[in-house]
Amino acid sequence: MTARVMVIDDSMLVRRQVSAALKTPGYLVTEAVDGVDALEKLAGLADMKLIVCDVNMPRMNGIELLERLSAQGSSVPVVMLTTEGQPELIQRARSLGAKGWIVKPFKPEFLVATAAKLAPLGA
Amino acid sequence: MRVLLLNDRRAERDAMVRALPQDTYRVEAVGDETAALAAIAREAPQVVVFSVPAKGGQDLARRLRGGENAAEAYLLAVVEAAPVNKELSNLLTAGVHDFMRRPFADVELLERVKAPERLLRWSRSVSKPCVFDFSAALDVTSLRSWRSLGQLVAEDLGEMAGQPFTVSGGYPGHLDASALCASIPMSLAGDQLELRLSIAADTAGCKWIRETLLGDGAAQDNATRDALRELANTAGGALKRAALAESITLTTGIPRDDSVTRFPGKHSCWTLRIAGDAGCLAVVGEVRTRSNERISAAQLTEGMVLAHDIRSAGGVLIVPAGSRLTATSASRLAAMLGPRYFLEVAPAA
Amino acid sequence: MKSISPKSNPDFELMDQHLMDVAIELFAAYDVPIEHCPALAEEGLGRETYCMASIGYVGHGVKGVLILAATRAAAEAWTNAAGGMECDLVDTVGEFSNMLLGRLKGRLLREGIPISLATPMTVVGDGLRISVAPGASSWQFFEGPGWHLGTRLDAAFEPGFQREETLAVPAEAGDAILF
Repeated sequence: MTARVMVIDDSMLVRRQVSAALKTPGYLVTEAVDGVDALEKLAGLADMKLIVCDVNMPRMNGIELLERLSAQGSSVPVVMLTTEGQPELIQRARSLGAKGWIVKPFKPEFLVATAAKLAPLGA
Repeated sequence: MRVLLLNDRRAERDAMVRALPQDTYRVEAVGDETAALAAIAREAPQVVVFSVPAKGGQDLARRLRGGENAAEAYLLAVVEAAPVNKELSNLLTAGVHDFMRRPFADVELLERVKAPERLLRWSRSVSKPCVFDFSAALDVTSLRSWRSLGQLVAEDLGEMAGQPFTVSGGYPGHLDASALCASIPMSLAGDQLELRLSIAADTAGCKWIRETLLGDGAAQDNATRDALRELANTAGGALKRAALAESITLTTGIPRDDSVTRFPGKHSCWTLRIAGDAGCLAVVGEVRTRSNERISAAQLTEGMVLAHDIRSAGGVLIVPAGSRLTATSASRLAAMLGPRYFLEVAPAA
Repeated sequence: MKSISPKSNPDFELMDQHLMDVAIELFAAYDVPIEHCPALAEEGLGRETYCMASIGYVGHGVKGVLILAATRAAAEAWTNAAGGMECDLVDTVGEFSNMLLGRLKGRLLREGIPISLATPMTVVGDGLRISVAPGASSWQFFEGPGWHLGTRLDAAFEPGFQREETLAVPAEAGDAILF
């Protein structure tokens, strides 16, 4: 039983940390370096169950990606993973359909629990 | 800059609060004179914007300026479209510096609140003594979050690495030009300030990054640099969140590789020693002024930071002040606003 | 004059409890474990007091002062921990009081007691004593490796003081929020 997750972050270290945390319980992880890269990859993948996305990225940031996904009618749950903690930004993400907000540095167990809630394995 | 708004018209008062960017102005809005005088007694405002009542406007102005805390405040009076008789000259005699007629646009309020700073620069340029000190330029180095930056960064990096750091003030003397470094720019567009937070690692520190953070002692140089950029990103996040608690909103940019050759200079420095004597990281905070630019929407590019809100004709907020543009948002705004719309931006770091 | 027991005011008791927590937390961040300990003297640190820093604060319906009292050994130890020099002792104590109240501010914000802080004033001398507070007041004492520190929190609440609805505060590192 598995589920595919996309992690979007311009930092290789963060992509590696998220992948390590989510691969352990059995998720398949696809990586993207920013919003533009993510959209291109999502267009070719139909079975994405969860997106874990940074906010501050070049070319297209996480909030802009949320707007784009919302406009496309995407139903894939998105969790923001970022150093930002501003309440207004969190509220904006929420209003754009994000399902969660995790502040870096993150606790792997929180990320896994979030994934289990939004994209349970074998569902 | 602290601004006190006295206006008994709630809707107008709320709109005035929204018109003043909160990263530049600390605004307190009240609905009556009693509350205004109490606010002045608590903390001296630099600017007082008040709605002139049908009668007694000049007396109100005198009372607002009467206290010690407001004796030097800049008074801006909001009057009806057609003020009666000698109302304006009476207000000026009572100590009001400027006035605005209703209805007024957000941008007019903003420009008139900025006026005292322009007057100050003018007065300096003509060598006249400055009566009002509106040099409320933010001193970042006096912020609590800045002064405890080393500790803040150590806590977050320690959380990231799963081990504590020992913090001390000062730059590690043994770091030479070969040390790896990454930095993250942070903007205070409203104050025309640019901060830069850098993290540098000595040779042992780089080894620690590879072994502990990357889990690969043989990791390539690009992976080590990427990790260092993420450390800078984390540090920037720590500062940003701490500054929020002091009502300062920083705009973070994208971390990049950097060099240690300009350190320590006169910058704020801390040394973070890794547990077990496994090397150290340097944290350096730089502050510099950087003038904003006024450019056409067609010239917007990634990395620029908006110095003011962009609102629709109806006053709806489209993009808030302090937003960092990406290529996506820059082109979207250029298309939406057109080349004849000019904005004030902090240049890309 | 006896200090008013903090137990008579639940809001003050809350503030005092948070102060103890942030004091321990602050020093732990410098890798210095401290422990709550009994009073050293009838008032403050008594003759051991070398340095005192005080910072005023004001909130909506509450105002007061935080006083940090340190022995000389404490001031020296903190200065060393922060990488400073002998001449920095006074500044260090002031800075620690600043950091302490800054941390307390963050905690109180989450409790619906937002406060604004003044800047610290620090004095140094032998056998320092301070005046009694007009409102609620509480000393707490802590022991570090070879030194002692005391904190005194004073608070005067206006009649009808109430804690506010918890304000939107910035999320912190490690927070995970599900909508």
